Amino acid sequence: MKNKPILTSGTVRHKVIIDTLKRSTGQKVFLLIQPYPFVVFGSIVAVKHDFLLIDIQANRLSEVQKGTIHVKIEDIEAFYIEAAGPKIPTET
Amino acid sequence: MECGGKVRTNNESLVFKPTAGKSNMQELFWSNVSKVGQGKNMFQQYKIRAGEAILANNTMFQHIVGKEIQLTLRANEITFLNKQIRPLFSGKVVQVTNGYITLDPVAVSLSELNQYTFQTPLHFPIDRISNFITEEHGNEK
Repeated sequence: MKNKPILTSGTVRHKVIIDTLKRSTGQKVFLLIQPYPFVVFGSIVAVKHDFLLIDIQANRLSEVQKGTIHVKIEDIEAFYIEAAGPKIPTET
Repeated sequence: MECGGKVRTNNESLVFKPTAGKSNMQELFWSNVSKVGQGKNMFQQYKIRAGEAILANNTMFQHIVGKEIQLTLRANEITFLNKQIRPLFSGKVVQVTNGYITLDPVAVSLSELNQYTFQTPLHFPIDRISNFITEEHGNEK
């Protein structure tokens, strides 16, 4: 009874996005964020708290070509998960 | 509200429930008079369309499914293709969930005349959207 979480629309929206990213672990993802490196492309390693771990793959649009990046999920402006939909172009 | 002679106050309950007006949100939600379809309540209609229940806060986005919109993000500017551009996206809404809306096809305006069309759909978190413009006139019946 005590410490019952109150779900506001903000937390629901955040939770839906976290759940969507968690469900697609291992899939390729494309992110647009405002801070550097602006465009992130790679496969999802894990979701830790409110950070998304991505194994970066080489891409024409991205400034960073390799490494593992932790992206704060709140900072994601736009994203696309390559599950069953069209493939993300990967030419360098 | 009295149960067993004990009056519950708002301080005791965690969620404050205002009792203003006859038609509360629940009645509104379960009424079967909506533009989406007849015979089913709003809850069922949204469930059919989205695959999950859409919160009352997000039903506004449910009404724009299938329409061309132009949306602005809350970010001042985004950097794309080594250019600093305004975050103006235009496209057709194909999916709405409680967390994000999906545009397909979607284009970002690089300048006033130039547009970059993405080869994939894009999901936009609702919390990061500042405003959006629909192509149709607002006062439809």
